[in-house]
Amino acid sequence: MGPIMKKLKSNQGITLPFTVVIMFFVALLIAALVGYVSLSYQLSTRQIRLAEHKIILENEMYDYIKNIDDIEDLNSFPSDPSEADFTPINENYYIKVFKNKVNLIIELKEQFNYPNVVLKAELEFTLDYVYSEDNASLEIDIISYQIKKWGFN
Amino acid sequence: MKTVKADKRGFSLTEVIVSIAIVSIVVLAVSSTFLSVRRIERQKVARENLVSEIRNIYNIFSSEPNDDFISLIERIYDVEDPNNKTTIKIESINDVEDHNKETTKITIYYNSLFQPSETGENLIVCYYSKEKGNNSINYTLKLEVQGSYQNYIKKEALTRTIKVWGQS
Repeated sequence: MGPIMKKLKSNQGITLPFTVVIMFFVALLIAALVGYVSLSYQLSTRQIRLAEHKIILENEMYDYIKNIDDIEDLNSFPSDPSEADFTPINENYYIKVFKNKVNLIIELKEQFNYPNVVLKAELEFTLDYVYSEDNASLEIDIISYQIKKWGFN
Repeated sequence: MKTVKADKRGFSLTEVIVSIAIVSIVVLAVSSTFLSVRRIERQKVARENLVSEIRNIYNIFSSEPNDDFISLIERIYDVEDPNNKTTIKIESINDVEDHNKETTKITIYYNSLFQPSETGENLIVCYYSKEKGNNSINYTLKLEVQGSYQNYIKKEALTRTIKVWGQS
C-alpha cells in the first residue's frame, strides 16, 4: 500500500495550492514591475516639468531684461532691498528688483505651482555718454550690461 | 487497482487544453506588461532627452546670442558621418515684410529617443532672428518641436529673446 500511494502522489501533477502560490508570485512580480514603472514615470515627469519651468523662468527673465530701456528705468528701482518686494509682472510671475551699489538684482518666481523656485540674476550695467537726438546733447545712458550671477536658489 | 489504472491514463484532452489556456494567459500578461514597461521607459528617456536638448540649445544661445551662435551650434551638432549624412541643416529665410529682421532656420535631426541622428524621426526647428533697434539688437530664438512630442512642451518654454546693447 505504501509504495502505491507514493507513486500516486508523484503522478498527481501540479496541485491546486502549488498553482495558486505560483500565480500569486507571478501576479506579485507584475504588480511590482508596474508599480516601479509608474513611480519612476511620475518622478521623471515631475523632474521634467521642473526643468521645463526653469527654462520658462529664464525666458521670462530675459524678456524682463529686454524691457529695461534706459537710465530712467534703472533709476526707478529701489536701492534698499527692504523696500523691494515681489510684485506681479503678469498673471503667473512675480518679480523683485533692487539695486546693490552698481549692480541690479532681479529675483523672479512663479507664485502658484513652484513658489520656492526663484531665479536670481545680478546684472552690471555699463553707463556712458550717449548722443541724444531729442535734446541734441550728450546724456548718460546704458551702453551694455554683463551678467554677474545667474542661478536658481 | 483502480488507481493504478488511472495512473497510466496520463492527461486528458480537456486538461491539456485548460493548461495551455492558463499558461497562454499568464505568458500574454507577462509579455504585454514587459512590452508596456519597455515602451514607457523609452517614452521617459525621449522626454528627458527632449527637455535636455532644449536646455542645451538655449544655453548655447545665451552664451553667444550674437552671430557666432550659428557657427557654434553647427560645430556642436554637425557630426562627421561616413555616409555624408548630417544631423543639422541651416538655411536663411528672407522676411519680405520686415527688412530689419534677418531669420535663419536651423533644423536639428533626432532619432525616436531624441538623440541627434540623421534618421530625423523627431526634429527641433530653431528660428534664429535678429532685430535692430536704436542702440541695441534683439536676438530671438524660437523653437518648434516636430514629431511624436510636438505638444509636450509648453509654448512659453520655446521662445527666448536676448537684448544686446551697443550694437546697431
